[in-house]
Amino acid sequence: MISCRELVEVLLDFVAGDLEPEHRQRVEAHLQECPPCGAYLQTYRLTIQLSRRLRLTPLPVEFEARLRALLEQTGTDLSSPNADER
Amino acid sequence: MDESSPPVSSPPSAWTPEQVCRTYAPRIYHLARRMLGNDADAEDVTQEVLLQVVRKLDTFRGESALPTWLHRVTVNAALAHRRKRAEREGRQTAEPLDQLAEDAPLNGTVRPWSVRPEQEVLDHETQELIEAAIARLPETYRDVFVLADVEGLSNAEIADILGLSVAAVKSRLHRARLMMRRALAAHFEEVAT
Ligand SMILES: [Zn+2]
Repeated sequence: MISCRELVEVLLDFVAGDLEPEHRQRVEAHLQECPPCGAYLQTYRLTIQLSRRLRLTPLPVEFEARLRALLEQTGTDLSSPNADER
Repeated sequence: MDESSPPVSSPPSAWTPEQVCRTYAPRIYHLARRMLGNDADAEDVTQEVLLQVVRKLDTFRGESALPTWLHRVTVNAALAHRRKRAEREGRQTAEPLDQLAEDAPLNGTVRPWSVRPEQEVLDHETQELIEAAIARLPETYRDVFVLADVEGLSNAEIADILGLSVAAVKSRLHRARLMMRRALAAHFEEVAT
């Protein structure tokens, strides 16, 4: 049977479904027998799932206003030829 | 991230600066802020990247091409910014890849978390907790973690953007997840008791 430490080392491939079937079975056999590793797997998965759920909060209002002004200005510059040339 | 998906009615080359700003600025800003851990630096990077986007809108074949390109440009701008800041402050950018302390689930010390990821929206406290944990990751690990587990890029895409081997990306991502797991466990295990 693989050790707890060996199990932790292959978690990335295990949760991605990238382990060879035989290796995968040994991990699953360990999980059956070892509740702490089961909890570890659960929390490893939760770490990934929670991070994927992070939201995009709105931009700071003052920054967004500055950005828009800058982009409007750039749009105007771009419409005249060779705007970047001196 | 539905609120930031492009308007389907017109090709990017026809977008107004305001549409560009509304569609891409939040994505660029948050990626940069998570990598740099600093609002002012993230604003600089966002400004720089958006100007590149506006200048190159004509060259995009379709909407789907933009996000890949955008990740690459934003990451490059953020890394350049970090290097400049480090030079100014006279410190090294590259941190040694420190050996992670033993983090195996030994002796039954690992407990399940009382958190439900299926809830529609993360509550404010959980969101802040995760952001703070990301900010505390060493940069080497933080970049890979943000691109993989926040942005959802594949290991191959990240390897390409950061100029690493896929094996190196996987190794760093795994270490980053262990650090994140440990940081979040301190909170979620407490809540469970
Ligand atoms: Zn075990």
